[in-house]
Amino acid sequence: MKRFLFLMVLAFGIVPIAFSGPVRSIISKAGSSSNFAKADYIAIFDSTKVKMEESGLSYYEEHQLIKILTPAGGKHFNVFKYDYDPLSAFVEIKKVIIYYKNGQEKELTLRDETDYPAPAGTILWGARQKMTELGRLEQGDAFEVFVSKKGFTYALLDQQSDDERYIPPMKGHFYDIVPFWSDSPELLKVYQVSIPNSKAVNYQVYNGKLNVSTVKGAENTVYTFSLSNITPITPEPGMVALSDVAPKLLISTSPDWQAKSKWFYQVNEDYGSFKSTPEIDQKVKDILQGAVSEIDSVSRLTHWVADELRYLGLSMGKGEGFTLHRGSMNFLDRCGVCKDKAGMLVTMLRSAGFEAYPSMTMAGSRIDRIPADQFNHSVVVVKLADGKLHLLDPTWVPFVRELWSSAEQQQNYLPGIPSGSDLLETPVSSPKNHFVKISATSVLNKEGTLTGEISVTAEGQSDASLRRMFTGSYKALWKNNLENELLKITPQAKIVKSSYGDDPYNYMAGPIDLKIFFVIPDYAVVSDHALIYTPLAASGIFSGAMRHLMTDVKAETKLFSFRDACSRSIEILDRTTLPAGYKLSWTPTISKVEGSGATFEASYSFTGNELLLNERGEFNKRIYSPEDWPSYRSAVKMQKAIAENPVVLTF
Amino acid sequence: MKNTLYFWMSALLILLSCNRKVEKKYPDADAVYLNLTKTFVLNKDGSIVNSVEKRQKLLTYRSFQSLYGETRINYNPAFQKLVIKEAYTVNPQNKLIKTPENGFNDILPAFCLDSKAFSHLREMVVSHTGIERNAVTNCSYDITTEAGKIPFLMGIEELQTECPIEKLAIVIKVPAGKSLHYKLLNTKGDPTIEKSQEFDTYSWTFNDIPQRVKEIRSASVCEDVPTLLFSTQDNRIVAMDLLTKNTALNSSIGDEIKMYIDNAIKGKKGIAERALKIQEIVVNELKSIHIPASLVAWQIRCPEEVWKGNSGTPLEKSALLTSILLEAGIPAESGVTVPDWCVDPAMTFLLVAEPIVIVTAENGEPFFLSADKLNSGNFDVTRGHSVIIPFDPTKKDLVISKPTGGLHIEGKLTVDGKGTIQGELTGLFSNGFNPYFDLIRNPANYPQSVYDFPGTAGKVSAGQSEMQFTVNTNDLVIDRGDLRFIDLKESKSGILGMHLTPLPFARQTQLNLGMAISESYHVFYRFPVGYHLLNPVKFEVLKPGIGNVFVSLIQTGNDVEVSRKIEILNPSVTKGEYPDFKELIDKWNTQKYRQLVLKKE
Repeated sequence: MKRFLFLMVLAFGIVPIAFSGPVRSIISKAGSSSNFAKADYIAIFDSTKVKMEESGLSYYEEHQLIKILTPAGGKHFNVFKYDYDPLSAFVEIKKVIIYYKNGQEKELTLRDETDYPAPAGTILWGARQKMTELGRLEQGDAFEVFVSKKGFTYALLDQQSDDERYIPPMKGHFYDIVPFWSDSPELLKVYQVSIPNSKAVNYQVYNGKLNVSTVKGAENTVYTFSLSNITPITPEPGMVALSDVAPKLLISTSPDWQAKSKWFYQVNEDYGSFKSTPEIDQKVKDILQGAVSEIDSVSRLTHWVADELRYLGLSMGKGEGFTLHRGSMNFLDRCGVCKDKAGMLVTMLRSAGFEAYPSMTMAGSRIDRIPADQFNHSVVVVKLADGKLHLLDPTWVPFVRELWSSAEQQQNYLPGIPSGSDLLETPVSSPKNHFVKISATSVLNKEGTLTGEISVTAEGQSDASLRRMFTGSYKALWKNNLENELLKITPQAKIVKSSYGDDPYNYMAGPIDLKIFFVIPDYAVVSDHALIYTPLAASGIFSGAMRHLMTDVKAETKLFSFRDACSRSIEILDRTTLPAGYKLSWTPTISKVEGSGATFEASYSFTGNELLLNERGEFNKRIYSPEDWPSYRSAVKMQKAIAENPVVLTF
Repeated sequence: MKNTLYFWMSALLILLSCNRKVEKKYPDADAVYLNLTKTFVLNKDGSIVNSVEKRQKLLTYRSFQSLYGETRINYNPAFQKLVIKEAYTVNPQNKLIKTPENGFNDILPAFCLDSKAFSHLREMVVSHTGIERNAVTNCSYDITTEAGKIPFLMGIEELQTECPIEKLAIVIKVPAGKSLHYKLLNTKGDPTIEKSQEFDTYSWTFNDIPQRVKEIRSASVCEDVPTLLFSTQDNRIVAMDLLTKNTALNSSIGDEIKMYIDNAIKGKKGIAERALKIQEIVVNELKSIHIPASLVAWQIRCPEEVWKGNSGTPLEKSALLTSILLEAGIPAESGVTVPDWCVDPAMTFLLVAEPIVIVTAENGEPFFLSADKLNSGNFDVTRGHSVIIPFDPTKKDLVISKPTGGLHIEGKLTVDGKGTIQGELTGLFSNGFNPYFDLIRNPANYPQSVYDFPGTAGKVSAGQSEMQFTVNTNDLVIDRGDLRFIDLKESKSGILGMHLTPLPFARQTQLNLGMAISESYHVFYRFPVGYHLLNPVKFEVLKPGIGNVFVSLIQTGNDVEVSRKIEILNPSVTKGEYPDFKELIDKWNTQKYRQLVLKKE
């Protein structure tokens, strides 16, 4: 307890820096690699102190003390970096003190800080980094860093003065999402925020407990949250995001999601994000020419935006990050990130007479109830004749035969509508919407050569997975990519003919339909006594469309929820005509699986000279709870067993 | 009348020629360069201007969604100036769309991450806007390198890209009278040479160049790609001065580093053990910043600074490694490894040179260390046929022609009634398959990472190493009904580790293995009485000049003799040889020849 209090005091920088004795002492007592076997470094403390002003402008003081435990830890921290967006945040690495284990110290100040544009991929919004070079740190060395920040993550429209740009988009409001988990051990993490008493504060701690204190002053209330001895969570294969299971604090002054929803609606309406132009109107007319129904019109517009606006983020300057680019800009540039693609689609839908709005969502993790901005993705809702709002995602459906990507099922979202909306959740998509059907008919001769054809068709996300071997590849390699599906299973295969239809880019024409006609010498082991082979359709061919086969099924139980790419159904049918005189002697043991996670059944039947294998399975959703694991695991194991074990026929 | 006739005839000819100029079709391409012109100018004052002018038609969705939507240009603002001359798109409706101001973004190149010393380098991202299928992007820019930074002009220009090129022009201008050395690899064509008072201009023009398909294990640059090499400097020693005259090379390392190293190598015996420990420190404890050496004009910081910053370029880390080795009393020197095609004439080797440290062992034999990765042996730092050029101009080049990688495993195993396999196997690993340094670093545990069974290192040398493996496992046997299946395990160090499957039916480019291969397994399995082998086989596939595969699974009494052998005779496989090579590899990888199937009588 004493040490905890002392660390708290130290973390908030109350101890004068010049008096480094306590710091030295705490560094030496913090432990070494023998205490933290898997860690390369530890945070002795990590504190953040926030002061929110009435306007929402917030000042952050961050203070960390890190001890290096291994050479890899030293390598990791040869520099200290801080990412920021200059349009909405101001950052200074005010000071770094390095405590070398030999007793020496080095102080680095603002003079040692370097500021430069951050590396970027497809989002070119002018993000920058500040860096202070720490240089070589060895086991036992430590450094203390002081960072000041003011501002927010997103930009604001209508800037007035210099500091105005740092006020959050929802003026007068504050929110924060504070992870109390870490990749490396943390002896103490403290987060303190001072908020004017005029604000209504909502906060909640998720997935654990924190020490919480609230001190109300004359003008402000100070909230302090802390947790000691944070150890990294051991991840499970395929688990949901850490933010769904690890301790975190959400704090917000926004009253509810309704307010956030209304604000999101208004900020983009005010900016004129969805204002059409004659060129856009004309394009909409062209696209909709011949449309046969309401859903056909929506589909045409959604897929036009999905396919024709490439994903690339150019900065609009003021307001970037939270404001959807105007339709005119998107239409001319033919590019944008998710929010801009959403904006383009809303613009076009409205031009076509639909009632449409942008929405915010969080791809990859859960949104919790406190209305802090837990968003990383933007989509669209459109009101159809049934009076309901329907989801559309022009970012995630290029070459996907869906309007809303089922890779986002069981995901929270918030429509930005005039009347406001509560937080909603996307529905589970039936596995049958994402079927994979593999079918093979072949003849196996006495020499062990298999001759026949195999085909696969799929729908929804499964269609997209298969189609990606074309749409995600150089056109010159399309034929190879299809043929490789068979060659991966059996390298000696000769391909008589293969087909992938007229144009895999023409995905709205119908479900993908791939065919390979083959001759495979040496496919089966043939002896005087036995014939041994694996039915080709069940061998794991086209596994790219069956991501469950990649699941690590070693663990008998799961502690955390886990995820697949999408719900899915599979149907596999293999019909092999065999040389006369054999009888079925051995097959993998099959038992029916039925549970909340998945169902699976299969059968081998041997009639005349023909062996028929039938497999059917359904993997019910995208996000699974630990209770779903036994049936999901059994279904995967069963399908793998059929793929990995040949059947034995004896003479 | 005559004039009128001429007029109409001319008009007709023009019309006919227009009609003939039918737009070319590229059914298998994502995009096509309608024009790609690269110009290199060496000015009299020594400044250099590299210009690129390109016009590219985008044909597929992928071409504009993820392949060619941006032009990314790396440059060093410390001595280079970038000027974008134009960037615009002409869409299929012939509308011109200029790249807007926010479409030009200077960012930090990703390879400069985590280095204050190089945080001034930049990558200009030109985002082509208004792009769609059948749009044509146009972009041209100049990079001017100030005089004195790079003392001569040189370049390696591949004359093929991942999309077809209708017209490719390479133009090189040098001050009048200045010699330009050049060589075309894998293609033919003479330049047109124009001489003026100021410049001699060499121009190559190529039409209708097909696309180069991305394939696994494509040969490294220049081995089968049409390429132009050029330089105004063909004196290797003068060119090497760019590296060897780095003043940083002469600076010594401080006491702090010495102490750290002395402590780390305490107890290590012999040159190899000590050198490998020091290599481990430089490779593992300092970040590698993979900046192309030309972008910093081959300049390096002094080793002490690199050590203290805990990061460096491969060239800097190599110089640091050499300095530390020397300080520790280990005979070492810096050098570079270059592929043999760029040594004679030696005009462009600096552009592909990779730093290396040459250490002399007690027996006087050299061994080679990378400062960027922990190489397994001497052959793990070079690419096919290579030449190692020491920094010291008085030292001779070391020509590295990778000998055949050998991997031979033999022994006797016993399989009991419960499916437990026990016994001893001996492996001989030679040349490129010899994990010599890894065995010195970790003699107790490394064998298992080679062959999945616990083992020990036997006699270890740079050329060949021996390992003994102790087999005691149930994992290789599966019983299916009354049949017993035994997986014939292969070493991960050999062909299996080269990930050669699936092999498509044909290739457009040479396949590069890096070395010839000889791999074999000769193992006797003894079974209890009553087991009968169901898949006996014996065959040999011979492909003269390419290689052979031999498989024999034969039962004699209670023993099954497994003999599997593959030889690939050359380090690379040409397009013509590929079908035969594929047949050999496919046969080797066929499941029915990689298992034993037995029936208990």
